[in-house]
Amino acid sequence: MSSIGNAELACHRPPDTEPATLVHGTASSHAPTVAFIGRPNVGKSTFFARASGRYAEAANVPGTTVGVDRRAVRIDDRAAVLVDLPGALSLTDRSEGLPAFWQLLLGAAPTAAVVVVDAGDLARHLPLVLACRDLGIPIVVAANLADEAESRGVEIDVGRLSQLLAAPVHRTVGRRGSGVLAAVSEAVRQASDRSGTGRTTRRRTVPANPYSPTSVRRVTDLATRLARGDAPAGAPPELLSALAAGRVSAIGAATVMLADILEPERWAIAQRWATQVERRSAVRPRLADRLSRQITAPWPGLPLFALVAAASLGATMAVGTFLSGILAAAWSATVSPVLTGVVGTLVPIPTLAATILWGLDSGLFAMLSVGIPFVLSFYVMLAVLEDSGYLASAAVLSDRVFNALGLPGRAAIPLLAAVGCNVPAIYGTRVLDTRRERLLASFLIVLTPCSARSAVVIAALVPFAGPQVALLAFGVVALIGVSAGLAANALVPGRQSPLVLELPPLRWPIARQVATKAWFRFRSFVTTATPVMLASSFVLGGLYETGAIRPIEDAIRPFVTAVLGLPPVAGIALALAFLRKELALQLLLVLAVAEYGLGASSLAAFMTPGQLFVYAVVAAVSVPCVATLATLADEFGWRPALAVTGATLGLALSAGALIARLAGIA
Amino acid sequence: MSNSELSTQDWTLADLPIGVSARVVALDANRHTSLAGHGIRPGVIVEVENDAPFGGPRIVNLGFARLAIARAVALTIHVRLAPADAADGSR
Repeated sequence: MSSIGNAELACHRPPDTEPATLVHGTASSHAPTVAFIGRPNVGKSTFFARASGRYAEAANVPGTTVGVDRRAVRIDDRAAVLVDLPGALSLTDRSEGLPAFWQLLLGAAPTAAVVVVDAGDLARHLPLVLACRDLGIPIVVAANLADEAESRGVEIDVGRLSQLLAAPVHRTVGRRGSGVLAAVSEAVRQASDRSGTGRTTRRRTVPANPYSPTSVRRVTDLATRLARGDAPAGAPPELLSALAAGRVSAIGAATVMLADILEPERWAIAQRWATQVERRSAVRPRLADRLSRQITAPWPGLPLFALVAAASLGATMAVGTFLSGILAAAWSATVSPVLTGVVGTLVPIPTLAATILWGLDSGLFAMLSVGIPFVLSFYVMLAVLEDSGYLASAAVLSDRVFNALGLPGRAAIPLLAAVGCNVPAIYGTRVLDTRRERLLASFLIVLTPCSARSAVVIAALVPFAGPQVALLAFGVVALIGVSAGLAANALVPGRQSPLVLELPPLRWPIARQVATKAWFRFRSFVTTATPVMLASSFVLGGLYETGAIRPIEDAIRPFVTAVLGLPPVAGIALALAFLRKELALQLLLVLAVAEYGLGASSLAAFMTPGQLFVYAVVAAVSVPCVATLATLADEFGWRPALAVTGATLGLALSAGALIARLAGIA
Repeated sequence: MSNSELSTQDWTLADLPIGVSARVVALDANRHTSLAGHGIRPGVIVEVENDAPFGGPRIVNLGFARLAIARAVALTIHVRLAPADAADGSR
């Protein structure tokens, strides 16, 4: 057991040192693969991060590890590949062939598995252990969250559990890393023993078989048929190919196919075994558990929800504004003059030089001053709310309200993100279950003014019409969004699936996990949005510098003046804002100066407050920016993306026309 | 599993009062898979902790686990009031 000794020592290292050496580059194909399996909320991703020395993108919201994370590591001088699988819920859902969990597990082709269970809730976690054990691969069980179990008065007899399961069981606390390496190195050892000596040492579970004789007979009969190549009709093809490739034994495949009859037995066995190994004592409920009950209760849950939402939005905006100021000042003071000089020297044609500067200088400036600060601060805030477990409670509180819009309460998360930037918000709809929900949520996201569009509304209205009018404009935009959401829910075919969600307990977020998660998401936002921002700024510059905007202006002039009651330059500014929303105002001013001379350097010089109101509402609602459109197309395809875009344009123009009539300007 | 087997005294989880323990006796087939995956199975003891506002989901305790279950789903979970002493030995 020397490796366990080493591992236990390793747990006393400072928490920020990496417990296992990461092997860079591709892992050797001979390295054994250890799969990490567990139900949602069992702290598996934290556990995996401890084991592999890094933090996966995961949240304290059930089922948020999307996809499969693979890490090549060295533990106790053995190379291994660790694979983190998403939280497992249903092993019997056959609606779409083989349940997703089995598909991912078989695809990972593990040589051993670490099954992470909640030490305080074995009755609900042991069925998964039994199912994995039935596959025929060696398993190591991590009785995780042992500290939470203890504070709830639950002690488990690890030795007895190990006997019952015929598998090693380790008591672990993933957050602190205690016991983690012991469990993982044992799994790696089992995996490498197995891959080293072939299949002769494979642990079969026959001696500890807890199933009824009928079930055992059905499994062995089916396994015999499968081994003969005589698979029954309707056998999942993925399973048969895994069987053919030797990734699963015939018995293992039979237990997967017969999950319907085995699962009820597994749950009954789990219940029985849990009572045998658990010792419960009455303790005062933990503070976290008492708080958890409070935050989902209508009182004080609802006022608290309003408080948390306002505080997080306020903090995001405050930090974002602060960062934006610093970044913008730094850019203007250092990079911008150099860039202007270099481009001016290298590019002899003035129009081309100016166009390039539109792209490089003002495009990157926009990313630094609008995109990056607000999105980064939002992601940090979101990660804190997620990891604390509060977000799931908020989703439950707001579920019924969002149901009216055809959405579950979870949709609040991406919608809140939309206030910062629509692009990450649309990617964030992946937390929703169905395409219908994702599409409806994305429609609402596009109708939610992002920081750039909010800035346009504020800058257009606060100085020239007062803050109350700006607030009124936001109210009108919200009204448009809610009505459109209600209409879309009625029009888009399909129904929303009702909620069944396991609430995670409240936990202190781990700073490093929060930082890593925010960073992963932020990085993907930057890599998506920056190229689009650069390209669209370049096109915008080209149109403006070459005078190509004139024909566009002439084409939309009658509509803009007659229907919206706006000056013609406002129309072209609105149209070009498709490329860069936050430029809707700057463009308007630049174009107005070009059109009417320097006297038009203030909005008030050529537009009335009524016109500004119409302009602000249309700019806030109409057509998402090009980056948002590209994201929509990426996620849903071009047709839905264009339909959403068309709908927002229609809404914005009708609302604009209506307001113009009411205000008497058209 | 069919409704006709249940006596008129049986309730669904949708009408179980807050704070009262009950034993799950049957699940309607259409919701069986998703609920069973969460551990809502015939035989387990559940208790409604609270209701989310505006007719939102019921918050159901299953041991230490807390599940938010929409009312439409709660209607498909048939329960029988658990005797006071049975609640302790349930888990």
